[in-house]
Amino acid sequence: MKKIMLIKSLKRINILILMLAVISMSLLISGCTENTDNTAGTDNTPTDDTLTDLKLQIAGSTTVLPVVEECARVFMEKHPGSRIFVSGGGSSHGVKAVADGTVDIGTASRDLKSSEMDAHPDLVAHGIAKDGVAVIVHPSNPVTDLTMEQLQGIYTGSITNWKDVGGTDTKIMVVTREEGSGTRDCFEQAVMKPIKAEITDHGIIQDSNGKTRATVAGSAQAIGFISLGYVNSDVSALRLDGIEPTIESVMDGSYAISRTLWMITNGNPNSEEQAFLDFVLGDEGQRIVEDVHFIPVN
Amino acid sequence: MTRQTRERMIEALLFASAVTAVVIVLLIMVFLFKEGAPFLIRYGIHTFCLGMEWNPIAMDGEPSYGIFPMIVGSVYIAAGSLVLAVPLGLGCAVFLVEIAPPWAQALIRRGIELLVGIPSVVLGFFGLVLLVPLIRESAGGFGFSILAGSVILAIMALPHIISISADAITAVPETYKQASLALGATRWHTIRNVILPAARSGIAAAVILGMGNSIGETMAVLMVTGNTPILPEPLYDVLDPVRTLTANIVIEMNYAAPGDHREALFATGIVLFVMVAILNAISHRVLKSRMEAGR
Repeated sequence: MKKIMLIKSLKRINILILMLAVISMSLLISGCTENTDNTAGTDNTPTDDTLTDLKLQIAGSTTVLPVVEECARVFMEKHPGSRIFVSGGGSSHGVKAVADGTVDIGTASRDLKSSEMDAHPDLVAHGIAKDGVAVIVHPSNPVTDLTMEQLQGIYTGSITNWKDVGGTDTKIMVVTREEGSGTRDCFEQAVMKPIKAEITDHGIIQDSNGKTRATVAGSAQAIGFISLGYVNSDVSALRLDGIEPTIESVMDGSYAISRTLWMITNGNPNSEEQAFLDFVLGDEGQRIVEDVHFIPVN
Repeated sequence: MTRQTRERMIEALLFASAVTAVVIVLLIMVFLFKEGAPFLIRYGIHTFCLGMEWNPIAMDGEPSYGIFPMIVGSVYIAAGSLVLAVPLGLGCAVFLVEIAPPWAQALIRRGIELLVGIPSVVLGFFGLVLLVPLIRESAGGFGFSILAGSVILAIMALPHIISISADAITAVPETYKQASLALGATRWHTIRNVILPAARSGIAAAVILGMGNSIGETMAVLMVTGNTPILPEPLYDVLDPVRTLTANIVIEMNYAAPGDHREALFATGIVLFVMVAILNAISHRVLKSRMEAGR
């Protein structure tokens, strides 16, 4: 009887080990994807100038992902036989993967860093869309307008109550994104960098635009920032220094928090890469950009 | 083929499958340490584990990698979940083994099995849309909190704690119970003074294993704890948000640039690994002592 019991308990220990193994495995896998050498699609000499043999690997920013996925789908429909593989991984991964030759095109929702330019001087970035980052609050919040100074105050943690910026007497719940996120980077560049300050440590951290929106939509005290394309009626987007975040204000540059979405090639694009880039930057591609709530560049 | 060679072959096959598990664990360990240990040594185990500030992408100045708040967060949430789950689980186990009529036993066992089957992400989502607002409105704070994480983890730990303690209680020799009842003790007296003490090491093992389980849990916790990489203020405030070690890895791994940041996340994995291994070792020890005592 004791033995049976022990075996049962040992089983539980095994579950624990297994659990740990799974965590480590996921680490292993995420490590591997970045270290893998060229496995496919880095052949720089297209064998045929028709597009039916086209084969491309694209990876990078999750912000750019919906644009690329939709463009790839339409492109493959128009050119039967062509194959485009799209995956996420984040902007940093996109830059590294294209520099390593793991993928043909990397995508990034932030500008190339100087460290990346130094390490990989051959990289060429092509702007395919623009995006604004909207500052959002709960729809019931009476505050509709913030100045840049007030926004900086809230995100550095020096303003902690809504009444200090014209709202009700409640604590401000700052919602921010994880370190490394392209949306966070865009916000930091525009809002925090001018005063050389870090985003407060006291904020709630969510790891996607969707979760940030859900968090702000569910809490009357919250303030957060998400990509303009994700703004819907669940939240209200604040005017910044009197300027509403809209497609027009981002395009003409009057809205302060905006960024360019990039496709990056290693060196000048080869004919396959160029074909897809032309498609994305053409009428159809730019319409898709608009459809997924980004702002066309052409 | 003679019977003997067939026997040998089967033995060899079984041996190979037995070794596979060990080899996999070893490979993972080697990989984990290969990726994270150089950083740990370079940055200093002390500064890493006891550092208070986590700021891997500094706008200005040096990045810092301190995971002490996350170690505290992990332990806090795991401990909190046990505080909630152990009394409940133990009560359930006692009822299940000693009191429940067969039909109720079957019903409860089915229920527990179902509870195990709920994916942790679903529990996390449940926490995000129901528990977090509930805590915010009834208890205050932002809702994203140690409390929310503990409640979700308690739900997840409950089935394990129930089944291990039920095993331990079942294993108490029937004669103890009969002797106690024959001496005129009531059922409750027997449970409290005879059965539970006799089963205590098994129950302790359940608690420790539950703790290891809780520390390793990721997705559900990530969604309800707010993931703020600082210590709660004041330290006992269970309504404050925290970040756990597991959440630290999951949240930042997607974006971490190769180099210090990524290696720091692997190093976080090492710390987690060591913590769970220690808990495992303790529960082994407890189980072993029980086995020896039982002889």
